[in-house]
Amino acid sequence: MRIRDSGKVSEDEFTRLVEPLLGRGAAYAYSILRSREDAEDALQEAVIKAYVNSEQYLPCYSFKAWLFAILRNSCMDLLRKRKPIRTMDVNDPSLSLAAKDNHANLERKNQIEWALGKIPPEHREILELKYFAELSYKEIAETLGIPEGTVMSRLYAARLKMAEILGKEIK
Amino acid sequence: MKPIDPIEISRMIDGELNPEREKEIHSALTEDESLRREYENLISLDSALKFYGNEIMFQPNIQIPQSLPLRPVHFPLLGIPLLILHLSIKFLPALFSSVLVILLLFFVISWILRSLLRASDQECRILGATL
Repeated sequence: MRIRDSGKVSEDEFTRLVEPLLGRGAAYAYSILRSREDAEDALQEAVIKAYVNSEQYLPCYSFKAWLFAILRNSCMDLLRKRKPIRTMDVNDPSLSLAAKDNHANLERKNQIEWALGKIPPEHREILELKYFAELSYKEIAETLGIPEGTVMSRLYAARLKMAEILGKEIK
Repeated sequence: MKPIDPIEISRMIDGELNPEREKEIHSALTEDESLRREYENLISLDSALKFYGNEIMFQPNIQIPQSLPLRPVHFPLLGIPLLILHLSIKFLPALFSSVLVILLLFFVISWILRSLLRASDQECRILGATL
């Protein structure tokens, strides 16, 4: 997603660019913070920061990657402020009633969440950006400030690690 | 055909590989059993993570700032305290209300003390005049 080549983001453009990213932003923040309330707080903070600093945005980069880099920092700040425990909040309303009713779904979800907690942070980070923020390789590279080649190799390593952990768990 | 790097399978799943190479890999998958097993494992993990991603997605209840009337870039002197005020109302409502209540109490107490002092001053003046 790109905006015009020169000049700052106008207010209309800002709303138009941010609105479609909110759902994925919420999922990404939730995957880091494991609390719907905290995810909303981090997202709100990130959107305000992006709005206030919109003049710092460089149009040669992806707006989505820029916003998710701000969101990532907001989540990390929030994570530092609270206890370093990343467990699932069973009372969280984000667990839909349908998911609660469907035991198999809930079990599958718990299994993936557990496996994500077992892999190294740099691997988890890549998976979170790929699957929950739905960023492309290029956008992940921009968000993390690493080369695209590193994204590819790290993503592959993360997948292998996840598959190994889930494989062991299933056995 | 160029030998297949396992990372290419991962890229293919993400649609980040060029179509020609994708075709080559697809044909190699039909011949190589271990490669196909790896591909199937990665596909199944991919669908599990997509499932989880959709499960945790929700529409957040947040506001997109459409027009902060006093943006710091436009009003460098007024903007910063107003932004702090805006953010504290938004994110620290308890702290903001406590500060507001303390300031109100301070104002009320000082107003009462001032009235009392004024009254006692008047009494002193009346007493002085009487004496």
